[in-house]
Amino acid sequence: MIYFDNSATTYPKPDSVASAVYHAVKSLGGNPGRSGHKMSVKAAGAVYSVRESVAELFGAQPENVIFTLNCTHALNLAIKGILGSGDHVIISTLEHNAVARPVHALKEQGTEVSIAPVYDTDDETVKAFEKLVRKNTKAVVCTGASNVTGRLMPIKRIAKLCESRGIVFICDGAQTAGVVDMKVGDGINFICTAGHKGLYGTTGTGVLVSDGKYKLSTIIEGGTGTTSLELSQPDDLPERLESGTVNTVGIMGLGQGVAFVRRMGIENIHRKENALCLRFINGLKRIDGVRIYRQGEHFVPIVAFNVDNFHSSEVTDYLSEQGFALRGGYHCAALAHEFYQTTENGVVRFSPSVFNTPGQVDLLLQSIKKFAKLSKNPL
Amino acid sequence: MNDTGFIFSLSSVTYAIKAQSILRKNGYRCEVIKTPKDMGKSCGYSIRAYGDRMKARVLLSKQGIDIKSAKPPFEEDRI
Repeated sequence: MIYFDNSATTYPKPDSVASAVYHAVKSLGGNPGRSGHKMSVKAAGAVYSVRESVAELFGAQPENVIFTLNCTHALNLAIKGILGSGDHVIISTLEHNAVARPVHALKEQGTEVSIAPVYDTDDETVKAFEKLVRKNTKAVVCTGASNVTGRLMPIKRIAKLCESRGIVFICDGAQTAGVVDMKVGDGINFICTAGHKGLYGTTGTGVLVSDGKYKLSTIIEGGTGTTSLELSQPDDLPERLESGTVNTVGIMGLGQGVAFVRRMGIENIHRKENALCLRFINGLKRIDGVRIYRQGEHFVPIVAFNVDNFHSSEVTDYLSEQGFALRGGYHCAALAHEFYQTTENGVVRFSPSVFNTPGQVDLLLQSIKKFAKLSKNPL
Repeated sequence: MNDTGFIFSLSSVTYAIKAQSILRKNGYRCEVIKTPKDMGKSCGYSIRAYGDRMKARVLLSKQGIDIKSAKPPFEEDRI
């Protein structure tokens, strides 16, 4: 199988990630932050070292890195930790359901919600956010890049706008981490991301990174290994938001994933994957009946397309039979598909990783060409 | 200069390891321990370190690390 579904989760993982996971299972058996014996302290030290690596990647302090189950978990902690009844929040029309659904749930409890459209230019898009700001706007939550089309949002400019108005800015970095250099600060108060996508960790890992400016209310409380005789949740990060035992094994894998990204260099990774996308787009343009969805000025390495009027799942089913893994359907992004008017057929999403090659892209293009031809001249 | 051992209790294991990291980088011999019961009833972590206690306090304070209590206590904390 040639894997082009890296926006869902990257595969393969670097060997160093697999080794770290194995090592953690074999050698880091203590519960980090719970006991005083050497095994526990050793595990806590190992977890802290990954906290430091992630903090450096996102320009944060180690204690402001919260390990989560995934990006959705991180977004829920941030969104529901900031917003309450009577507050107003602005999101973009490209949001994944990881943002759209928590915000929708808050709307039913009295939070006001506005959805900013996106335009061809970043200028128009930033203005769209600005127009929606109200006196009670508490937060803007915006994806770093669309998980459907790869469109990169003008995050730094939206963050600046928020900072100038005293609005909390939460960025969904699921598709940007590892391919775009993004740091907290300068108006970016929270970055939420997965550990298992562009950071090459294992599934079951995510991070919430804070600039430390805003305190989040909790949506989960429990044991933190601190102030155990008190019933109120402690104030200090990361424990405040990390109730229950953390995923030591996954965190160790994530640590090596982050190290891999730093060794490769984010710019180099983006350049390589973007070159694969451009090669793919150029090939698609030569196939009759293919429509490419590409709106905006800048992109992360994702290409969305359809073939004639086929449902995207028919295309991906065919490609799977031919040995290629791509995702069709709706990508958990209702708002984006409504915006791009693709709710009928969804789209096929191509998302390479640093492990893919130009030759693999060419093989995929041959199969798409074959599908397009067969569909016009069925046997 | 006081270069006998001292204990600082901290708010969490994260801060204890951060403190340990800072002090080790500054030449201290240091380890993370559970907070001794005479320094706090609740679960918690501390560092036991050897070297200049006053300088250690300044180093940690500069990094935003709040020392909950110290053993032996600082002069201003004595009742």
